[in-house]
Amino acid sequence: MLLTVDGLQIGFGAFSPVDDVAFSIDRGEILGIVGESGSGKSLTATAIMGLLPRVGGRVMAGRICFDGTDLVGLAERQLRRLRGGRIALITQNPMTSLDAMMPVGPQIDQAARLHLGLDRSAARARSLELMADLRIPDPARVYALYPHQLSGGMKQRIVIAMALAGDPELLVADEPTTALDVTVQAQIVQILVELVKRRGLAMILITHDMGVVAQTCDRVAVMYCGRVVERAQVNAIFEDARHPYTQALIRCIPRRDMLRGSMQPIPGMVPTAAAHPAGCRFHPRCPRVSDQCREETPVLRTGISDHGVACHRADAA
Amino acid sequence: MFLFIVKRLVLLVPVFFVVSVVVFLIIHLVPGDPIDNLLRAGSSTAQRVQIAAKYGLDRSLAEQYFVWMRRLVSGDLGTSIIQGRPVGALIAQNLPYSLQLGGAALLFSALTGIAAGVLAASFHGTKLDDGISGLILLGSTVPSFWLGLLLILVFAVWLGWVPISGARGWTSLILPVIATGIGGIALVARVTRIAMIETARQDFVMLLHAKGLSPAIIQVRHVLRHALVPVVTILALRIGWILGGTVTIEYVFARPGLGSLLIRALNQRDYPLVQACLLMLAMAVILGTLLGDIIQAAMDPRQREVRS
Amino acid sequence: MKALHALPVIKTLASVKGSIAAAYLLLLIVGAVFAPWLSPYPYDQQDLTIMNQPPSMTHLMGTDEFGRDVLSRLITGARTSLSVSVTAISVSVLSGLILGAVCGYFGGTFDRVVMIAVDLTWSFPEILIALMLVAIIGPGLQGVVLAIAIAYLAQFTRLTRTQVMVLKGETFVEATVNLGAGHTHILFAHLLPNVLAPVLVAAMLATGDAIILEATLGFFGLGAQPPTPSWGAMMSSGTAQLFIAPWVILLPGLAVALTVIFLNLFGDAIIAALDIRTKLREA
Repeated sequence: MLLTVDGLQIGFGAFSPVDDVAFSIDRGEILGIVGESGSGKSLTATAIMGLLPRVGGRVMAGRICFDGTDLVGLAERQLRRLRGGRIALITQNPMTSLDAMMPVGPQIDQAARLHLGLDRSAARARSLELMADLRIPDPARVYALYPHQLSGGMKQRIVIAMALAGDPELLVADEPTTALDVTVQAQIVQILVELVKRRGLAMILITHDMGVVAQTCDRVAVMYCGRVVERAQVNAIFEDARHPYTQALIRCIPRRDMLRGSMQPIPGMVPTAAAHPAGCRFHPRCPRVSDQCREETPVLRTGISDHGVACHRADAA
Repeated sequence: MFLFIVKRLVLLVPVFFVVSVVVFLIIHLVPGDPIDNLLRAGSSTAQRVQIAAKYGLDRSLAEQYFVWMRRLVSGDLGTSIIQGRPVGALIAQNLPYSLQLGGAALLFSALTGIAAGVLAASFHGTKLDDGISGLILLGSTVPSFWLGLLLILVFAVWLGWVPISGARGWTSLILPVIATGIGGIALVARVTRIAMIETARQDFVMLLHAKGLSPAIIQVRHVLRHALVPVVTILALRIGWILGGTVTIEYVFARPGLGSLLIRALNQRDYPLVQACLLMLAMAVILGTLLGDIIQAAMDPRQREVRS
Repeated sequence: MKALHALPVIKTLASVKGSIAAAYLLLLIVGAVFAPWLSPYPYDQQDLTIMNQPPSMTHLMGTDEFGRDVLSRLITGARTSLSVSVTAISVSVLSGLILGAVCGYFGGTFDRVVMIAVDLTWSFPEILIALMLVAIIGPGLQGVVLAIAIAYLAQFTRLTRTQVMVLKGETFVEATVNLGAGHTHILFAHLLPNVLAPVLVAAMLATGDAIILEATLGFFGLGAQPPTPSWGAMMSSGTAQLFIAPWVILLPGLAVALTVIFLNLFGDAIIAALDIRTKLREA
């Protein structure tokens, strides 16, 4: 395994918005982390990047093992060498992810110069190659443009090129398509999938969109209120979802053959980290809630074929 | 960019017009006969007639303005009542000192202010930040002339490190520059600090960290570059305010310059000299503001496009 | 309604810097009002046998070049400095409120002309505007009051105008218009009371600047004329004695600095209590 996260707990002041999270990913794989906003999926990504202190959080417990090294407790200097090099981040909003006062080309160069030790002209050549690879038309012209002169889709391609510049092995993509138009979304998703397969990268794709997961991921971890509630191969999730929350999420995917009004939103709201309910955190919204659910936190039990679920009532329905 | 500068210059024409009208009107608004305001007391009738003819005082106000303006453009600023010398020569003699002090103070307050702001923002929430913020408040509330006197007392009188007053050599410039610049430092540091803190919260900074760049490089090459836009904006807006400080400080340090010239002229009711000094100072403020505007536009790629 | 208005006052006084600043300012005002009874000597009592004496038990802050008691002159000077600044800023605020409200409410050509004038004065330092006006009016306290009032007019006009324009778009104004209220009624009964808070806080901060401006003009010899003491004038006549009797200059300067700092702190505390920082920044 390239990356193994185990028992990860993240602390923010007195709260733990992420608790006991575990998953792993290998080269050539795409792991989807799915959940509504507030489920702790972005914080998990931030933790993998070692950037939690930047947002005021810290790892309280657990391991983040990257290629045999535990990133938790690694010195900032060593983390910095990995960041943008072997592990790269693709952020959510391309509109705000680029430095508006710098042409986009040199922003791509930065990682290559820092991590691959290339000089200015070599880094530029590499950036132009990457841009062409990502199907950016006329790379030499775009290289000198400022972010505000590019469309959203182009900007996201630049952000992806920036991530690739340091020749990473692991890509952490935090909602890479959320801020884009629907047609552009499909293109970007396609580009990402191709990259992973062709370059043999590992990618963690964080999203709230089960549709995107179905199209792209090999394996899926579903998060709710900072905990992984279900984890399985993508087929198993869509054909045999065990957790009531996963089932509800799947029912939320709009489909062409759907009748008007048959889409079912999940009742209730995601509680904040300050108000996590006792027992199973999903119990206030769960249709199959029992007394045990209100008192006892279910652990992730792995059954046959690596399909794990954290629910007392998983077998009841 | 060229078009932008031309546009700004055209916009300055009405400003200059209004300022010149106000300055022109001074001798008419001051109580008493304008001729008396332009002449030494006890002048002969012949002199009075000559002045009236020269200033066109028998004609309408509008015509008088044009007569005045024409003479101004040709470099004739009138004659000082008290000193009896051409005002133009007095200005030419004093202007370089003011430019020297104003320029040095501007540079000093911009550089020191930015440095202090960057330091406070980089150590946001620590004792260092609190200390700098405290000094910023102090700097913006202490009257600059009093600070000047204090500096004279400590560094020139007690310690004897620098000359007490005058304008001989660069050492005599140190204290005036500090005293003039202190308000500007406080202003620049405050804006820099806030802009840096706000910029550092933006998404793109997070992504820069994710690239593995060192925090120092991110602060200086990226965050500061963004923060400088509001800093230059405020500098462009308040450039006159910093330059205005030189008037006070020149007087305190008995330095030659437009400020001391103006204050002396005001106390002696030497109106031709007052007019010329005010006009020159206003011009300096207008041109300074223009310069700030141009630098600001040149800095931001988004603005560059919109404005040109 | 009354309780609601009292709340920010309590909040302001409850904060550490708010209460310290309030205590200082109160002391200052009491000192200024009761100056003739509080000062140990008449402010203009000369005694050439005790010229330039350093602070002692008989003269707590020493004496100046005419042997006058510095403490007494400082207390009386507070009276001049405060009344000049407060009067000037009051005139400025009142005119700015009316001008800004009319501009913001009615708009049109009048608004455009006024805003051009406001923008014009904005780029000029207050000291330059004040000097220009003193050149016209002539030295003396009336000149200083008028100069300060006009120098700060632009600021209050702009602030009021922005606030009125924001409020004008809000529903309660529309509702009042629909009820058939006249423009004057809406302006004075509904809009102005709502813009008062930020304008008054800005006025307080400007009073600090005005004290400095008054002191500067006084220092130039263009303000209070002898023997009337003001903080600025005291420093002006003390310059010659800087090397022999520095206290004559240092103490009035300290008084100016402290007063301005505490006015700023008090203003800050009020801004925090009223939660109007964004409103002030808009203008």
